[in-house]
Amino acid sequence: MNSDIQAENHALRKWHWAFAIVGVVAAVLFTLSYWMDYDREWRKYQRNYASELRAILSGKGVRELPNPGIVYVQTIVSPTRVDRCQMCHRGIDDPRFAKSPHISGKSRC
Amino acid sequence: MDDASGTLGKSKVSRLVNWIVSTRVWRSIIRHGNPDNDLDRMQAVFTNFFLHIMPARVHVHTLRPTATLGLGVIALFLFFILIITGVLLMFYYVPSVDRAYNDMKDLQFVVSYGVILRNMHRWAAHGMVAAVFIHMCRVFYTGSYKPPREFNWVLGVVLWVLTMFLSFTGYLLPWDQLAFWAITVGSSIAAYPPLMGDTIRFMLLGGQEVGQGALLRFYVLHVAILPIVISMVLAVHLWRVRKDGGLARPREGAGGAHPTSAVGSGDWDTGKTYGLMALARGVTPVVGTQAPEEEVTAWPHLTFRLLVVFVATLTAVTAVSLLFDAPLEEIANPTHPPNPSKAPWYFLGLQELVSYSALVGGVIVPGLAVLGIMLIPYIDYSPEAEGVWFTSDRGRKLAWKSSLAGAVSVPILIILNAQFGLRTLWANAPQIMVDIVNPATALLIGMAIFSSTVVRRTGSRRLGAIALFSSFLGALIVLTIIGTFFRGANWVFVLPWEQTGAGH
Repeated sequence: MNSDIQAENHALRKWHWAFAIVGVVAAVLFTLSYWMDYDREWRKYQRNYASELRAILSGKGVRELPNPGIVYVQTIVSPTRVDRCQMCHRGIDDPRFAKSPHISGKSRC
Repeated sequence: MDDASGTLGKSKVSRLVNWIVSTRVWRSIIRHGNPDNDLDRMQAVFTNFFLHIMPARVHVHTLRPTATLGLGVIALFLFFILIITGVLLMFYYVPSVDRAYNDMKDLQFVVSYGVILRNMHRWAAHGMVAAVFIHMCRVFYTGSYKPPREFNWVLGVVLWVLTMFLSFTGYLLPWDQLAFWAITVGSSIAAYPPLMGDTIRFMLLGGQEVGQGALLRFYVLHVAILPIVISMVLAVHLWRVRKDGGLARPREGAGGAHPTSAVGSGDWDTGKTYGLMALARGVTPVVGTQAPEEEVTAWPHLTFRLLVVFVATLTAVTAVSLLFDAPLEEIANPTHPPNPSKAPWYFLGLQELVSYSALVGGVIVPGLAVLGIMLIPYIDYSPEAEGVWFTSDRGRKLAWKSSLAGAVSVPILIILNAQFGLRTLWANAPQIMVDIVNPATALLIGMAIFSSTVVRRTGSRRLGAIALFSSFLGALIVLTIIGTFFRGANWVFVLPWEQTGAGH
């Protein structure tokens, strides 16, 4: 067999290893991208809001406390714009949260 | 025992595969058997719609990573990524000045995978501009534009220009400050050609300024016209690679017999029937002087490499997209231009030259550069060292020295212009004199003299072309770096860490 062909067959085995490595890296990155898409910034603010609300309401005889895990997209559609400010700024009109650091949180609306 | 059971398991799998590929249903879809022998491997390529653009057998030289660096297929795969992410983005984006920016916000905050999709689209676009340009440099430095590939080189240059234009038209779509002012600057460069400049700009923008008309035109160009045109030119480009005898490689043997030698014309015997291969220019792998033993089947030697490069490209784009978000500034405001307003990075070298002379930087340099690059194979058509990097050691040294000379001459000319420039010495100098005496003109003349001197001294057009192309490349890189990192408000020189404007 020609030495060039032998060298090529040997090189192909290296490419198998390269495929294994980039395949694993790709799988990790795709999983990471799924997680990063799920764990959006506004989810953290809503979880914080729910936790604070639970803290405020606990011991006040409220039977069903809000679940800190609940997160949702809140959209207010007006004729001029689509407003999703309260996805992050939960409880912004609630006086109980006037001093909460999370209400004034990161404003990107 | 383990070996025996392993062999038994393997043969069972092999029998199962052979049974599947021999079924009537499989045969009706895939027209070849299990590719475990050379015949089926070759059939796997030439009976497959998607693979038949490749030859059934390839020369081992073509497969070496150092021969091509894989840049052409990387650019192609980036184009595929752009099409897929672009089509998905089209489901959410409306090209209206009232909606475009809010749609970007929706993609960023609400749409599932909106951020990663947009990031991948943005970074793949920048990557494609860079990959196509570097691919062009690779083809030049390996002398792969020589006959019979002259026209395919021209098509490659057309693809480079189209790629930049495709990226440029996409730049406006987010409708933020960065997009609006980059396009304002970029389209003003398009207005510099005398006589027809204003018409070109008007046609591009659909008006006198960047507005709804421009957004709609850029959108249609970006999502329909340019992708279709690029796909068509690309198809011809790839088809010609096959028809011109595959990728260029060093000639075999002292006689210089080459597999791409054309069939002679006028020698046809009218009483004889000729096969298609006798008519085709170039030869197939089994005809001609090259030794078949230096070839391997494209399946799996080439197809597997393509798969790895595709996954690696996709992985790289995903990694960059996870690490860096595509920029999105405030909504476009035509009354508040940022200072400085900068064109997209691949036009910043031109913008730097435009700051000295609009005519030279905006018209003469880009016009001459594109035309000159297209004409290279018609000026240097010698078969000298085709497929060999830099032709020779002498060519390699010349390439490094020329690019260094081009790179160093740019800051020297800028400093000289700041100290002794025409406007510095004579504030009211006529524009025509400024257009003649400025760093951009000096750079052009310097490169022309340098390369013609190399041709005269060496007697080699190839070395002259290397000198010209390398000095242009060095100067372009440094001009782009200066325009990107060293220009601040009012286009005055600043250090990168003193920049206040937005990056690209």
